[in-house]
Amino acid sequence: MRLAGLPIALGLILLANLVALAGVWRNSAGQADATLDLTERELRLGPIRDEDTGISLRLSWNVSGAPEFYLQATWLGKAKLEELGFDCSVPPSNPSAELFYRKARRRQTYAVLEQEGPAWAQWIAAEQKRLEAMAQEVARQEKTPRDLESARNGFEISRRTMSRLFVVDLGNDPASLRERHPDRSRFALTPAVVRLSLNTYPPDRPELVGHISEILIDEIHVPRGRRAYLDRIREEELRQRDSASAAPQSTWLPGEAQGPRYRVTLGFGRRYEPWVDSVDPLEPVPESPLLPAPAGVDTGAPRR
Amino acid sequence: MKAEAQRRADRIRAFREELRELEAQGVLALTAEQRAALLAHHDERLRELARLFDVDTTEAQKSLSWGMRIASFLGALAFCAAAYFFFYRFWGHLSTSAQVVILIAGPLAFTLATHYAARLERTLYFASLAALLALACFVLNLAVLGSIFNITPTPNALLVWSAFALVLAYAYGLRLLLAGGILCFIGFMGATTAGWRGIYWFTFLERPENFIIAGLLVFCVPLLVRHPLHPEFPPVYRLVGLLGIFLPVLILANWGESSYLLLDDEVIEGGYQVAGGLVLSSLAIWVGIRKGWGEVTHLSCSFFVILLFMKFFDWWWDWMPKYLFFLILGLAAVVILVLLKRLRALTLRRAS
Repeated sequence: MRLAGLPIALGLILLANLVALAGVWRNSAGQADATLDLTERELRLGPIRDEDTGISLRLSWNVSGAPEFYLQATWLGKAKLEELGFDCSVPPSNPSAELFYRKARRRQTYAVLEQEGPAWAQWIAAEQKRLEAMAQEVARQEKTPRDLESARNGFEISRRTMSRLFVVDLGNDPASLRERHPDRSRFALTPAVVRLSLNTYPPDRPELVGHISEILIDEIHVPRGRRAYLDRIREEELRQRDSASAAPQSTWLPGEAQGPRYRVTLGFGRRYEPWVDSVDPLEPVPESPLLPAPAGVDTGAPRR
Repeated sequence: MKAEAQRRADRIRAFREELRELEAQGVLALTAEQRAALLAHHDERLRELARLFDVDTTEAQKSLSWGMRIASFLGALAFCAAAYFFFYRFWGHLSTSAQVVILIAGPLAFTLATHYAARLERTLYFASLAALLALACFVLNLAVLGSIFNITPTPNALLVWSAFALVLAYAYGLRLLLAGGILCFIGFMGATTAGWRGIYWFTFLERPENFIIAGLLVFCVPLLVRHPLHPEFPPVYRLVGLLGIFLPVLILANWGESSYLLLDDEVIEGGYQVAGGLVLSSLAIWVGIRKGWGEVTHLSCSFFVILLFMKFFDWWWDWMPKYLFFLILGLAAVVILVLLKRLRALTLRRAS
């Protein structure tokens, strides 16, 4: 065994690497399954780790039709969950439903990511509608002007900084998902994990809801040849962090005051695994003031 | 082979001690010639065993060997951490192809180092250290390759690591690598069981029952496969296999919500306490005594005591005065001692 052991062990190492690299080659060979143009809003620089010289970007995403970022979409109900393979045979009102669904396991499936499409437009429209309704509540003195101002500022910050990448669909068959979402420059498919829960509120109408637990590959490595600009940003951030005379903290996250600092072209291959095609700097946008209050509404700000 | 040689050396040392005792009590008296011949014969055998297998021929040597084993294990852990942090410290400055070459070269180099260390040194301390490093580098290799190319995580990596560790273990007779390989295999089996029917495989850690079948399989390996070249391996299989069964049972006996079973948590916990705590550990203690598997008996006794004490804590800690709680704990230990003593007396009667 000792004589055979050495070549077998060496062969195993080489074979495992060969299989892994063949998979990488197969993923990136030929035409990409999708190519998305994203910015810092969707791909954020990972945290600075002193002992790690690598750079990765973290995918930031939302779920379409999910109010208030709960990642619980209205379209991800019983029918979709059954389509994904969850056993939903016990009616939610059944006394044994609580135990049955508490034991349900998370399932791996495919998610469709949409970049700056109808889901993003719907989110903006819904938020604007909410603000209009709130303005009417202020007029009826059911809410204070300060509430409205705070909500408007929150919306404005989200509108300028939030990721425009939305999960718009889920399915176990990537081919049929691609048929439903054929635009490869807007929709990308990626492995994701979904869990199920029983929503018991309101108590008289319990229902099954799905949640997207995670996008499996949400931390994307940036190879050395494409990270020059990100290195400059990182160095700047490190300088700021170490500087004793650092500017006071702004309400914006780093790099967001003047808009996103870089654009990333992200390719998705035949195995739905992503890679960074390019990273380019974006021109800074002058910081615009937050939205003014609607005419006739007292914002509670001090008068001159 | 080395284990067999070590057992022979231990027998010779024990025989000499007993002979001294018998002569001191006047039970046995060898002539000077007989004693000299016996001593010369044993000295010659011990020298031969030490030359061929580097066995410990004195108690002091044996203690030192244990120290060396511990130092070798801790050294290997430190080297593994060094390799991990070294790579992350510099990988950002390397091109992708250089990263891949270094990642593949690491396990290859340490596998070769294991081979040459095993050829040069019969005690295998350095070979064991190099083999652990080879395994750590191989784990790093596939894990980092996954990060560099954004590969979807797969449980198959656990199978590959397991196969690699087992090959090194059998090639060079390394028990630590055997244990590592078995653990990876149990992990792979657990993940594969969990991954059936589209369940996300990484949730295998949330359901301890996934490991019980794998643990049972591992426990049975020495019954199905003979180990004439590695007589020290079957206890490792039994020990790790039993851990693969006992640990999930211990968890389920306390946290029933992590079970697959569609039953009330308290029913599940009670079931595992009875099935695992009483039936399983008693059965394992009995099998261990009957077959002479010391490791099975020791682990089963420990498991039984831990489970019992954990339940005592659950039941009584909150409302019972602390002095009473510890008093009951002490009394329970005495009861266990009495039971084990009776069991011991029973086995002695049978042996006589």
